[in-house]
Amino acid sequence: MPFREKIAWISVVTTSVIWGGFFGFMAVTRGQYHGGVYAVSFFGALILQAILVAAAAIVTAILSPKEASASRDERDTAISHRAYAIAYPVLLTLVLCVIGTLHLGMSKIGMAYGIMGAIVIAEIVHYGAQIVGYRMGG
Amino acid sequence: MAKPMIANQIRTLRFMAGEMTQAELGERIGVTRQTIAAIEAGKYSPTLEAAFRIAHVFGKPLDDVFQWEG
Repeated sequence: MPFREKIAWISVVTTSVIWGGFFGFMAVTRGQYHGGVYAVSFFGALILQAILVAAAAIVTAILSPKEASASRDERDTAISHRAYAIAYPVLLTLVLCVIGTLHLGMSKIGMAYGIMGAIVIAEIVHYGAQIVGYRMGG
Repeated sequence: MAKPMIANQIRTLRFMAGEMTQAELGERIGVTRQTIAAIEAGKYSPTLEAAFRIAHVFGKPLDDVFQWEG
């Protein structure tokens, strides 16, 4: 498996688990806690993901140092461009939907979390598209 | 899955070049082993530059390495 595909798997799994957990917590508690609890959880999730991705990437690089040090080639670039081309419209659509909820009475803080959720989903789509690209060959 | 439109003789040419590995070929043209594997399997069409580089490694003209089957 190419090094960049491994990184994509690490990113998609950590993003899904950590942010799924965060938004799941938000959905279940439905604002019953003080806003600070959600803000701390949000930054906690952000830091936890950064640490997990970095640690997993370092371990992966140690296990296959040659692949890790290789620069991105033309297929990596093509797969990356295609993944962005798929994820970008997803992000735009979701952000527009979130903005649309303003008319349904969504608070500004709720909208901020909604936009964060849109970014998370777009990131998952982005890494997912990369994995599919690598699995299909290019 | 649709049959690839571009066939190639890379596996044969690697064999004739003393069982050159995919990693060696990749190193010589500046791509990863996995990219060579994908090109060889017809799953990825290389850029024109990479195709010329591959042909150059084997000392063959481009159409001895890649054939259009469209």
